[in-house]
Amino acid sequence: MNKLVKTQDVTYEYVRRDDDGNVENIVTAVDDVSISIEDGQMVAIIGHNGSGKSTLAKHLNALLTPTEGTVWVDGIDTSDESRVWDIRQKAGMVLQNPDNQIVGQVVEEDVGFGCENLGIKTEEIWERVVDALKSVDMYEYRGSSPNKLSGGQKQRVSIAGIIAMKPKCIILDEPTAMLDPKGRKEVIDAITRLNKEENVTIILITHNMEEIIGVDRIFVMDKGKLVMEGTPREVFSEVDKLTELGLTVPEATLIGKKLYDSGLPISLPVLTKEELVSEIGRARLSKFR
Amino acid sequence: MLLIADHLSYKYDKLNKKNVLDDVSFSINKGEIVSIIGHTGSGKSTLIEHFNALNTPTEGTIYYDGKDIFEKDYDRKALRAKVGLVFQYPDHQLFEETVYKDVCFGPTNLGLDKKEVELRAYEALKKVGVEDDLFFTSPFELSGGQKKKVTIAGVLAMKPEVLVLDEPTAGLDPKWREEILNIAKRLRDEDGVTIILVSHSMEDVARYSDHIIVMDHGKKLLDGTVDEVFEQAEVLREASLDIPESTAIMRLLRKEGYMVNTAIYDADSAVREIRQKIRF
Ligand SMILES: Nc1ncnc2c1ncn2[C@@H]1O[C@H](COP(=O)(O)OP(=O)(O)OP(=O)(O)O)[C@@H](O)[C@H]1O
Ligand SMILES: Nc1ncnc2c1ncn2[C@@H]1O[C@H](COP(=O)(O)OP(=O)(O)O)[C@@H](O)[C@H]1O
Ligand SMILES: [Mg+2]
Ligand SMILES: [Mg+2]
Repeated sequence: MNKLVKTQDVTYEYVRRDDDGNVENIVTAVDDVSISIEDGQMVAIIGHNGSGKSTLAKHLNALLTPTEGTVWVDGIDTSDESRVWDIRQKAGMVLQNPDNQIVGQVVEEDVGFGCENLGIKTEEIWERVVDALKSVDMYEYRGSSPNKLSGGQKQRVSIAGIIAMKPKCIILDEPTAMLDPKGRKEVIDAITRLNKEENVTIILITHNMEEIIGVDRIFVMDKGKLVMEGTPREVFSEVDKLTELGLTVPEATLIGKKLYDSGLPISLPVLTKEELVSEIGRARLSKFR
Repeated sequence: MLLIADHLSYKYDKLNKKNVLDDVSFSINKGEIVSIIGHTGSGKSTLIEHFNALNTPTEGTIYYDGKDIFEKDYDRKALRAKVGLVFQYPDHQLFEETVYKDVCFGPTNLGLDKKEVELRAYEALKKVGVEDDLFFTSPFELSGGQKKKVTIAGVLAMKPEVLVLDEPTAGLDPKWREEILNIAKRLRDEDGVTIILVSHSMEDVARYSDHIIVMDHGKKLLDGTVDEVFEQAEVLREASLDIPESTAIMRLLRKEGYMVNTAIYDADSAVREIRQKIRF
């Protein structure tokens, strides 16, 4: 399969200098990370606060270029400055704080802004804006002023702005952190649909483990390093290791593990509520036999 | 009762027809942990910004410790030292050159001497787990979660009587999400600080609150204990909210015919209930 995004031995250092230009401090935010993400995959990056997720994500659409190592997006080396706009068209990013992303005076104008920059015809832009707003359930706010929206509403508008540009890949840095349960579900459903139906590659950074039960692959960061990688089933089998890393597992997984530890024959890991209930049923029967 | 909202209504723009807060009344006792939940845009942030008089109601008022805080000669500056507000977006609260200076800002404004200010700032930063090597970096060079911790430290350093946290755990990793909530709980248990928590995490709200207020389109929808509120799964879902995962799991078991209690909000209680009520 085609590797849409690939990093090879990437290290990134934030260097702070004093007024005379002398190096004052170096933070190695990403430390020798190699990952590859296939075209059409939906993947998640998790890790403690400050583990380097956002820094790594910014490499995937050339907002940052590595101090050492190489990043390719759809085969283009991101350190090739002449290709930066090609890369940003292929890989759109939704950042942690929606306030820094809103530019338009009216919601629909804001959502169309990225498309305008791509030189798309006005008529087509409007169509895309309508679809994008509907997909995040913000259509009724199309005429509102973005700065009057609450945090969660703004976040959905910024997601719509990226969706409208129809990129090959969308990187979302904690897009649901400020949303209510319904909004969270709508966003996850919307990006899952984009992935399944339109084959958009999705890279999701989140602290919410329930959201990533269905992804193809999970990457786990710790202090700048990639420390685990696998399917949700593989990663969430390691409850103790994840806890050590300051992380957790979905609630059903945790309950399944604790029931197993209490002596019940539950097959681990359990990922969903439904799985847990059927495992409990199985455990009952297996004792009766 | 420490804090009473009395028929509070509010609009940002006087010309607007619709109230952002619409006739909201409730009361909060001293030493309680109260959560305010509601869909995005339901008015939570607008509401809590009334508690220290940042917003002035269009109708109704707030009583703090028996006094109307919107009375002409009420000392609102003193109120702001007693009711500490941690804003939803750290970028709105951080502005100093270094993390340390930022946390010193609040206590300095209280007129404390330099030594006390620095001690409090140090303690507060330690409490929320900000490492020493970040003290003298710019708050704008921090990761999202680190920023959040610094804003919480800034308010903790003022040692308020009421700590109002607007989505304090949004953006925090699982370990620190629990840690921050435990800090809040300890402040309540040990120092009697009243905690008001705005959150989108049904799990956090269920595990830590004594009392929950549910907002919906600017109106108060529910007001009750954790059990009373999370019994109303359908009402909550209608209001864009949900029940905690553990509760949903117990409800599913119940639907399958297992006679388990559904007022369960965390994994350990769920395991205990399952082992007790289901015969294996
Ligand atoms: N602009 C910057 N200048 C200097 N250091 C920075 C900058 N941005 C981030 N850092 C540092 O780099 C490290 C990694 O930060 P990053 O934002 O990538 O973490 P993260 O995993 O996204 O964390 P969170 O979950 O809190 O968002 C941290 O130690 C942080 O303090
Ligand atoms: N500064 C503001 N000016 C005008 N309207 C605002 C402002 N802040 C919030 N609003 C509006 O008030 C309502 C409530 O918002 P908010 O209190 O932020 O909700 P919540 O915190 O529950 O998400 C929303 O409809 C929002 O659009
Ligand atoms: Mg981040
Ligand atoms: Mg808010």
